[in-house]
Amino acid sequence: MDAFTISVLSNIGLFSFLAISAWVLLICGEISFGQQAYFAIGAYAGGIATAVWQWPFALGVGFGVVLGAVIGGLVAWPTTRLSGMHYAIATLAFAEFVRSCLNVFSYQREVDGYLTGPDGANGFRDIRWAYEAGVEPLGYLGIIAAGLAAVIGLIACMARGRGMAQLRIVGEDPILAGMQGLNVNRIRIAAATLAGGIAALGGALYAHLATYVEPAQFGVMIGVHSLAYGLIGGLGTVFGPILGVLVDIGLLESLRVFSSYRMIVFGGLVALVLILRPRGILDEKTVRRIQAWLRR
Amino acid sequence: MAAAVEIQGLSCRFGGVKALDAVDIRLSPGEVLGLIGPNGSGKTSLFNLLTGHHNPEAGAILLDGLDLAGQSPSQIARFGIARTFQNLRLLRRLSVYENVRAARHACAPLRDAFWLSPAARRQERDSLMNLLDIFGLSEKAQKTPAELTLVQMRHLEIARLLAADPKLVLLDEPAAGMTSAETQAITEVIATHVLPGRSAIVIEHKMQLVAALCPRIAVLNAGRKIADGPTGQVLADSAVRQSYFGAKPC
Repeated sequence: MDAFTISVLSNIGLFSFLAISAWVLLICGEISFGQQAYFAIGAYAGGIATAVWQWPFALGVGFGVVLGAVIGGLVAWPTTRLSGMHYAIATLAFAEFVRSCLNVFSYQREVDGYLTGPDGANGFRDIRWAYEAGVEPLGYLGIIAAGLAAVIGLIACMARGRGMAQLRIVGEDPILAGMQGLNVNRIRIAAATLAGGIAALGGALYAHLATYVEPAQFGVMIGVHSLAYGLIGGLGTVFGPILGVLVDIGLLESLRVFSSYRMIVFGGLVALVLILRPRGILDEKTVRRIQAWLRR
Repeated sequence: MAAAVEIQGLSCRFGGVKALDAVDIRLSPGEVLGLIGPNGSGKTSLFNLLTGHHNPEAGAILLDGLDLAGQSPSQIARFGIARTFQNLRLLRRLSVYENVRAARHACAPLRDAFWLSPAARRQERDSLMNLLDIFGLSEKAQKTPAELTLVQMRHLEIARLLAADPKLVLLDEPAAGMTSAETQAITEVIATHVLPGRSAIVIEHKMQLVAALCPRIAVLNAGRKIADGPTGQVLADSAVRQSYFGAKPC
């Protein structure tokens, strides 16, 4: 596989974490423009753990995931009263708050004679675990794929259990959900915790692939894209947001014919899909039809 | 297991409108009460208070001696109160099967959120499909509610209510929009499958259904209870006829 293809596939994988993160909240009825905050938290926490504290990679990534999930839950706690546009604005405000904090966050320690760690707006260099461990880009693509498979596996388990059904019931009618005995606030906090953890996993993996992260990378447009992926791909299955990423990065960004017009085509595509299929390409009805066809 | 219900001095206000004014109702375990009254008399508001959707201004709601006033809807549902809605409230993007299954998630342990064993899934599926079968909906299990007729949607709401196995059922105009024959059919379904072993309050404008299901009725008018007693006796009451039917006293 050539370097370009590996790079494109790695990007698709990494953005899929963000897209799934926003999708989890979407099916729970919450519109979040702020999942890039958890991506950034995962990137910085994972990077600090491996580059500054010299933790093993898996432990460093795990630290990023746990921190993202915990902060996701803590942010969700006071925002359970909000819904719709108010919730969306709150998530956007939090994401910008995180980015502003990272702009002034400096935590550098001497490692092997060099100062290592985040340095405010100058970014965070030398997150070199992959290079030091001799992991080739193809091998790292395998790590990303394994992480993505774990997330899809977790969602699949929740779909076989009660978790996904509970999220969908709360997303569709929170008042009815309450009258069915579901603790709506607790489910919303759980969804935000899960979404925070998934985005942070993507962020931690991203930091170790890029070796350099800076606050400017985690701007509003990343959050808008992550939300749009689910809306394009569809809310009926976890593969919906991944399809959205494939359309954007796999098609629009990677094919040269589209590259100059990516944002125009992407914006138009979002509008078109929302008009024709308000719940995305793989919406609930389509997914049910596919499942019925597979059962035959 | 049917529950004893005691509603004491229940009052509720929406801005300047007093929706309920010191309403007292007592229900013995297994008793079925018809609740009638003109539109805007406070019938659905009473259900909204009983299910925790609104909080009372004053008064108490005791279910087997336990005060429910001020509890959250989810806690109240777990205590064993389930309801249907005058304006159908179904999960329109979920399948018929998932709509009924919605009533089974409440008391499940946390681990069930992440995994249900094949045996547990099969057991739940069998039990819910049997329930759908009672209402003639098993063939439609994978359809969405939008693909059902109005009567089937009403049946689906009742099936969901039964899936929760409640102690007290609150039926809000279960025959709304139905023909006389359909009303007769749903009356039989409710009498056979919903009421046995449960306490119930039934709001309905169709006296055909009320007379068949409810040995006792209470009448609300402008938020106040104006009558409560055996069905025949209350319906013959001149004040009730005046407020509800608009008939002039003889």
